[in-house]
Amino acid sequence: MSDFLHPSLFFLACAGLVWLLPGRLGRWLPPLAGALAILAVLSMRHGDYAHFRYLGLDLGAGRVDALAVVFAHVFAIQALIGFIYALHVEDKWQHMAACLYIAGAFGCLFANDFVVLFIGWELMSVSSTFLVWLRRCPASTGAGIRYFLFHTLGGLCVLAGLLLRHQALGTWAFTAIDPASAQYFDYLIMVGFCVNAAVIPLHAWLPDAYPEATVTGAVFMSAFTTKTAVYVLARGFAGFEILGIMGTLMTLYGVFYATIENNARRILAYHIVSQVGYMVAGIGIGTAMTINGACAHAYAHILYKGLLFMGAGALLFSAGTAKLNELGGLFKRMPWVFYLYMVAAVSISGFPLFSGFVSKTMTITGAAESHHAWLALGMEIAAVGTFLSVGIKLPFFAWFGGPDKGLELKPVPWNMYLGMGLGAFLCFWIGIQPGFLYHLLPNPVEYVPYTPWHVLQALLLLGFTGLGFYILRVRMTPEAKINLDFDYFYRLVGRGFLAICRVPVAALDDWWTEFYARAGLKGMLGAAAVTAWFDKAAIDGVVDGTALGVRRVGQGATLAQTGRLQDYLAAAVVVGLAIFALVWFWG
Amino acid sequence: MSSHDHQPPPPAAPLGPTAVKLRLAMYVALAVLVALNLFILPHEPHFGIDGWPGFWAAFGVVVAMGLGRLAKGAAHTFLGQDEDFYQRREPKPAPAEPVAAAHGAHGHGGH
Amino acid sequence: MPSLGLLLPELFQTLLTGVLFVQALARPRQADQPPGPAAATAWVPWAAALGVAVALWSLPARGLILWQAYQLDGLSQFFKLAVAVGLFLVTLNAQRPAGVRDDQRADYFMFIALSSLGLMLLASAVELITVYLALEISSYSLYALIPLRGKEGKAAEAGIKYILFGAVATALALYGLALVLAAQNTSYLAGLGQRPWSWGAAPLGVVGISLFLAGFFYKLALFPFHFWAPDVYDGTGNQTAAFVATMPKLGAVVVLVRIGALLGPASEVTALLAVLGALSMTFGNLAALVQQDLKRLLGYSSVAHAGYIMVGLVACSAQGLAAASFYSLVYLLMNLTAFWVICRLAEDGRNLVLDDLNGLYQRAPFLAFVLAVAAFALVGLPPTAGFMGKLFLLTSAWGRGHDWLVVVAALNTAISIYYYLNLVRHAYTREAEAAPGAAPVGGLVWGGVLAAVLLILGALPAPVFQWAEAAGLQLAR
Repeated sequence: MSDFLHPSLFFLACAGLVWLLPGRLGRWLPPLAGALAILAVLSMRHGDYAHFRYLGLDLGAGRVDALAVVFAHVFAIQALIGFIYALHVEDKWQHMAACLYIAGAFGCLFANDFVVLFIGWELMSVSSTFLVWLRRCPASTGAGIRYFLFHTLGGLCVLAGLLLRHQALGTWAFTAIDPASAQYFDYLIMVGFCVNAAVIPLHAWLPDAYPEATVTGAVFMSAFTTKTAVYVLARGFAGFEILGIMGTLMTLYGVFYATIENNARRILAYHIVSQVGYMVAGIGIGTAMTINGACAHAYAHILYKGLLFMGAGALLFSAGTAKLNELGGLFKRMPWVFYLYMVAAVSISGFPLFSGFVSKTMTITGAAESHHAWLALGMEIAAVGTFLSVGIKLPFFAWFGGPDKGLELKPVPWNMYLGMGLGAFLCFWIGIQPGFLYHLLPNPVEYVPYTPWHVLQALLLLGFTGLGFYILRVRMTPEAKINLDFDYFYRLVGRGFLAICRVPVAALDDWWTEFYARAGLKGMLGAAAVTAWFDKAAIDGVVDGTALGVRRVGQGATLAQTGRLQDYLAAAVVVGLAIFALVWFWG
Repeated sequence: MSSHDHQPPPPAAPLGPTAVKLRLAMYVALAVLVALNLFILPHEPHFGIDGWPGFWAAFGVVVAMGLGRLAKGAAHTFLGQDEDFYQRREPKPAPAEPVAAAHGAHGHGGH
Repeated sequence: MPSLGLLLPELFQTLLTGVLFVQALARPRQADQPPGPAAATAWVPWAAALGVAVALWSLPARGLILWQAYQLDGLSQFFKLAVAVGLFLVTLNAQRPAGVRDDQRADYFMFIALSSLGLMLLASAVELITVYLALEISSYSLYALIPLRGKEGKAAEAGIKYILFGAVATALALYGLALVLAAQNTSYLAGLGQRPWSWGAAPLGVVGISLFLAGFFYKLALFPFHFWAPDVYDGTGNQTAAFVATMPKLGAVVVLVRIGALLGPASEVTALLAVLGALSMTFGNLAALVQQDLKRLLGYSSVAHAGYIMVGLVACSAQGLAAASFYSLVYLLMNLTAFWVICRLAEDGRNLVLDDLNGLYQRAPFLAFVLAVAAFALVGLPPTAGFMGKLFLLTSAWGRGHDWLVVVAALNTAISIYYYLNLVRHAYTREAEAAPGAAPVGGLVWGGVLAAVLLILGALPAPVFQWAEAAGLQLAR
């Protein structure tokens, strides 16, 4: 049993305990669950565990191999960091939602078959919706509903695909699908996975919901939903050409919007689309190096994106707003949040000495070496955009860019600094010790990150991007606007459906009102009175009367309980004999 | 629905003394990097032209400015909307009908 | 000499009884002195837990010993395990039985242990006289327990009713035993299985076995031998009622299962069981609709549940007998959970009425949740074990010649929804009138465990049901 202990168990148990304990006490348990999960992941050996029967199906919940372990490794670390960041939260429902969410993510990672995967998938979907709703403001409620509807749609695609796949192939096993022989149900599953991976045009839920999530919830959501989707795509759909193309488009699309957004967390959310695009593209290309690159990128991304969201979350927590046009000039009052944010910002941009450098360039080199030159070019463009929006624009307009607007700042709690510090440390550590990450990767690594050319190219690219920003800095000033995205179409579909439902009823209503008004009010009123009487006296009388009647019979039945022993004995013997006689002579 | 007329951006605010020093440091660093690029070059250029000295520098600044202009241009024309854009487009909820006093007068198609 | 290893649960139970007996011999102290050793009974639940382990260990024991009057098979060991679990839960529940003086506590537990020993013997007895003796052992212990409730006159009255009604019922049983012996010339169940049981071939035997079963109908509180149940549950202490309401039914069910296995589905006795079952469930449910006192309500509900168990017995198939056994175990758990909540709420040991539950979700939300789970299980709503139990019962009986009984059972489930969910309604939607007392905190852990077991058994009934099914298959060959 020491070869495999499912980390989900810790989080499920933690959720149960947090439910029972008051919030002040229970909030100390989730970091403990995170630490235990790290130990579990470190001690697990490759193999196939946790087979069980449920509902007549043979299921497996414990497939451990290198691909699962690299994701599990960083999931556990990020769970610990995220829960440390969330220690100040006394709302136990947020902790429970986060614990169940992470339990579902681990469940998906180790799932050996689609059924267990689906259970984890839906658990994640529902609990992450609560991470949005628990912010308890009108914008979050609306965003959460849209998020939930869309994710349910994605989940149904997965469900339909997996059921049709079972019907066609007779197996529930979750294995790699050969692109050459993929059927429509495989594509259906892929679409469902792509919803969670925020592949355009199915991505709009991400920038819609993540800025409206709780301060600490967004940190979790940035890591787990999309990276679980990356994992399942890597497991099942490696080598699908379409993913390579869509991934590259995602990288460009994400930075495009990130450049013009105003809300800091929305910038980061669009950024997730962009970065996940790198991973999806790597999976789509499907060579050993690009799969490695996708996994490495996912690993590093969870850490630095989490740190970015922690920083933006600290801004939101402290200043009460995440909108860049309302922030500015905060450097003197919040220097440490700025420094820690910048560690993540340079990591995501791919500066040497930080984690992005050792992971991002692997994917791009892999793309170029496998003759996908256009994809590599797209990714380089996106790298520029990344640094431009997340690395320069966001911190510049949040912490500098003008005089301090005099916002009242709540002090940032110590646990947030600790969480951010841990994240920053890991971003730096992976940067200077890439072997730490490389040894976890599923395929052997033949890539050397620290060559003079790689370092110089990165510095050139990023340095001159900075120059470009400097030249355009005024134009880049954020304005208090929102930008239309594909969610315009989603809402259109939703409203259209409502309208279709409403229009016939409205038409009917108009016609009926005419008829009613013209065809004799008295007759109508009379008929209405008759039906009202019938309903009350007859129908309700029958229903209520039956209930009351049964009750009265029941009351009558209790009359037999006179309290006198002689009555009981007599009744028992007489009734018993009567029944015996009836049965024997009649039966 | 377009947003307000696009005016030319106001001139940049003048830089303070530390900012001027930082800007000078930035120019110096960039020049050093370009100089290094004359000597350190990739073994296998991915696209051919990216093996030329100065390519990546130009790439960085051109793409950054291009992206900034393009994205902001789109934002100012058709993408950018006021913050309550979606709220204004939501259908108004129907006014509440007075509920029938008896247990439902069945004559009226209820809605 | 039969291997003593086969009798481990009974021996452990006897040892437990013996130790309690010795403890009870301690001289009672005067009123102003601290309670003597007879009051130190906190160890009893842990001993009962050890008994559960022993019973688990003895699950695979098989044999036919003691002049073929005592059989260990899947069924007997399943029921011994159920009795052991029930004993553990009852002793845990009855740590400070209200109305029992401190120096009487060891006596109290001794009688409970003795009654459980009788039930274990009943599970393995396959010869009618042995069955009768075991029945008496388990009953006599209870006769002493029922009146033990301080100076309450109602408890003494309940005790008298229980004794005298029991006496008449067991007298009828003995009479029936004599008739069976006369008609079938054997008292061994194995032998009786070979004999005919139809009215045409053995009328005296049919009468005899019906009278013999009357003794067990009394223990099971099946109509029309149930009249004692509401008054006795009402009069006796809450913790004692928890025991009386649950454990003796296990003993009755195991004997009925064994005897039911020998009768065929078309026999008159089976028809009798079906009619009594239908009347029992209907009468129990109807009478429970108007009850205010919680223990009376649970008393009538136990009459109804006795009727449901009959549905499994009349099926006369392995599935039906397994379903009846499974349901009796589930009934034990559901009822004990309900009594658990009642005992926690009534600190002074008084009888609770429905209005005492008002506002429970505010005073003690977890207890309200446990009560809700128990109520849902008693109705038979998913995802609780009660639903699974009823499902197994009804599906096993369908198509075996008593389809009308299945229909009646389904209708009765509908009627019963009212009064069970009434409990939930009082707990969750009514506000407490007076200032609520201190919220009871003790017993939350075990209450939670009971609720969890009901829910888990509802989601994953297969392992436990497969035990019961294997036992049933052995019988219904």
